[in-house]
Amino acid sequence: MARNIAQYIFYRLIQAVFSIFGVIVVVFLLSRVLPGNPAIAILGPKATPENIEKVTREWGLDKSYFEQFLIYISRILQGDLGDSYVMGYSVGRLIAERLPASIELVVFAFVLSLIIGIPLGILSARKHDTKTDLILSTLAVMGFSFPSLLLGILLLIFFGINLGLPVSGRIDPRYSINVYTGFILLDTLLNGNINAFLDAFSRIIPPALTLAIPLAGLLLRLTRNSVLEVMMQDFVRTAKMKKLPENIVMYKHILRNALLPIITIAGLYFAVLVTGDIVVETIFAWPGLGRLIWEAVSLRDYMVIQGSVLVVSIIYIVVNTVVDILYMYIDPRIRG
Amino acid sequence: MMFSRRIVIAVVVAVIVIAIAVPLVITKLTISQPVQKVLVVGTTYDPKTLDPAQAYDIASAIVIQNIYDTLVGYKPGTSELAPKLAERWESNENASVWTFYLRKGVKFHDGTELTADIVNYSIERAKKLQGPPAFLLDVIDKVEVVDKYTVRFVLKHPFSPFPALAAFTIFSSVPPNATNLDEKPIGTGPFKLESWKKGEQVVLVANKDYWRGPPKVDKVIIRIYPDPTTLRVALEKGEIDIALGIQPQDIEALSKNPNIKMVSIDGVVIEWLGMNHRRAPFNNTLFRKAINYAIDYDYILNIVLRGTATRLYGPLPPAIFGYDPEVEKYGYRYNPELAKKLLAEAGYPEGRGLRELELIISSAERAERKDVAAVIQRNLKEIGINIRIVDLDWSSFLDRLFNHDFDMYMVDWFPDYVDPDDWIVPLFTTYGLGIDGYNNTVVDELALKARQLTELNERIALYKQLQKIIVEDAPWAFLYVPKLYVFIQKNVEGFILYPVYYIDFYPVEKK
Repeated sequence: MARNIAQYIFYRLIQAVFSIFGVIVVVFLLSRVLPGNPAIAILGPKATPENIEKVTREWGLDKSYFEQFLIYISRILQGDLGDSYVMGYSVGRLIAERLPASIELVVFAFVLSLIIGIPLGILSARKHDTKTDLILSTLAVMGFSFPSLLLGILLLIFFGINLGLPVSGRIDPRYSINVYTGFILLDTLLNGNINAFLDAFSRIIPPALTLAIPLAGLLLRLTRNSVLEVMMQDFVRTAKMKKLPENIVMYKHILRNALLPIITIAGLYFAVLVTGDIVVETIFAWPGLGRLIWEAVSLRDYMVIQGSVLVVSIIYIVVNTVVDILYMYIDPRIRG
Repeated sequence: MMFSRRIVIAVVVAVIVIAIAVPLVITKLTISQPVQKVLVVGTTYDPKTLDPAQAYDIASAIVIQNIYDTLVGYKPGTSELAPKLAERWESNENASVWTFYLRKGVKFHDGTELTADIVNYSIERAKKLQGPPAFLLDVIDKVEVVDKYTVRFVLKHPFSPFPALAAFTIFSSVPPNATNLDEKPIGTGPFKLESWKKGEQVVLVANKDYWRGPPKVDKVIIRIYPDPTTLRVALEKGEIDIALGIQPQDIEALSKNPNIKMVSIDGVVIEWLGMNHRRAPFNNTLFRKAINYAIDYDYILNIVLRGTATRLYGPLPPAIFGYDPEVEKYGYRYNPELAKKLLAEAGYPEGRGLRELELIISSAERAERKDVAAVIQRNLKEIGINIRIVDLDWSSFLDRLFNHDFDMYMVDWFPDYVDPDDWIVPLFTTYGLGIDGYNNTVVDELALKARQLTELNERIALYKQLQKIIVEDAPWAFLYVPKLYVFIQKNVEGFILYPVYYIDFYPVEKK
């Protein structure tokens, strides 16, 4: 059993290395296929041919793609993601500055969607084909089909103007907070500043809801269908015939099985959220990874595009590997 | 069964209540901070660097201008030059050697005194670093230190706009012992950097020993709101004191808000419709003139831009010296009948024999450009010219512009130095950027002559002539000059808006 797991993890790690290499190649090529040139993007309409040439040479963009790729790979192997052309900093640092903001928002949104989606899904399944079920299902479909741009602006206006709460940004700029973890909710608490914590808490809610509502809708539907499916199975009937209390049947027998597909979807979706919803980050002035990537793409800042996509892919692969391993613990059938 | 359903509902309700109510109740208590006078500025752009040798974007310049001083500044609220680190300056006969006399007793944030050696070092350093704006220093042959407070620039060729150029951020003085200026900038300016979180905010603190006296606020926080709607919400909620980068469509509503003051001024950025003279039908002056007469400028200014811009009649914006008001009389106005007639004279009666023309734009930075392009499309259709609008991202747009792969384009121009030279030479001479392929030897000669004269009136006369010739050739359709808008809270005083992109926090006060 333990050996199987070790083997499995080893196998998954090998797979991950190949996936990451694939990502590096594809992103490298894609960023260069884009029309436009970073030298022109930075110099703007003032760019004279000599200046463009000078900058291009300085950044090594005059070398062949193959040469550029070899240089890039050898630097990655030394743990160096290169430097941003536009900002002059190392890409690793730019990402390290943005990543905590992204992770904090995503984890918060993720937990929020689990808390909203799964209980309502169970409720919907129990009351299947009733008015409650119909209403919840309708809300769920609305939730995941609502465009996040619109949802975000509505929430911004509702929380900011109607409720008069602080919105946008991570915290009121007037608070001076010592940074320990990069996660603002934790840092404000570590600073012992409860007002700052509440300010930050209020600011994370609207963007987190914007991300959480579609996922909550999806989870609601999934949980409902999954629970319904398991409820039809023989072992549930057996359990019920044994006159076990409803709650025990629900939580010990049904949910344990019904949650399996949900974990997979949630895992995939979590990783998608980490790429950062650019729309949400833009509307709520959230300094996360999504905007860094967007800015880098618009300026053709190749190194930043490559580096941040690489980091996001690693997160994606790690999360999904963890999900698969988790799956194995929950579902005895996979252990084999 | 009943019990567990209640739990489910209770959990969901509790989450929603906590999410909404707790911060609502307690944030009422949180507004208990400011002991210091803190000015919070909201902007839509993120600075890229704080090193004056590297900065070539407005967001970076706004911060740099408040940490460093350049040799030359502007008179309050104008584009006219004024002394800053240099008390005065003079040139030789043909404007090829410029001598600057430095202010005495100016200290950097670290206590170093500003001297001619340091000015020399700053220029040499910027030249060596070769950042994006370094090409502006190409005109300098060498820098000579005459004495402790006198520095002389020997230029490669006569260049009378040099003092205007010396107001650009790359002419900021930096101390010789400083390293890592991008993160730990040390200048002579009214503010010092406290912290910079990229993508989030820049915090500046007052330099109490500033040579003009301490600033009126203790701290300036420049906060980045990438979405203009969010910026507007933050302004209306009172979270920010000054908003830079409000969109034109929000201006009308905000100007009615009694708690907010609007400051506006005519800018120096021009927007135009360019044409590729290398290709037919744009190699025909009559055709270009037809386009100039076909556009309904008043509709664009009043309906599309809602009065947030003024008309551009010729190559120069009204807010700079050398602008000739006469251009408003001889410039092009909407006249579709005349446009049709000229189109027929050009050999395309009612547009017959014309292919579909392509207009490339990039509306990502200026959303209103798309609407203006749509009006131009409709206006041209009315006289028989069919155009297709292609909206590209900025990098792709510039790529096509520089490869001369376009029929028409719309773009704007930020001057590097406020002198007619920086519009006429790069945009209309064959030794400029040559985007359109416009070629007039008289313009080439006069523009060259104008940058060699030192007598202001003689220069103005030449630019008057140049404007007339260029308008007559109709190389572009001249469109408009966007106004600059800044919105500030009622209790903020002393803010002065400049036509150039110079945002000065030094005189700003909070009551």
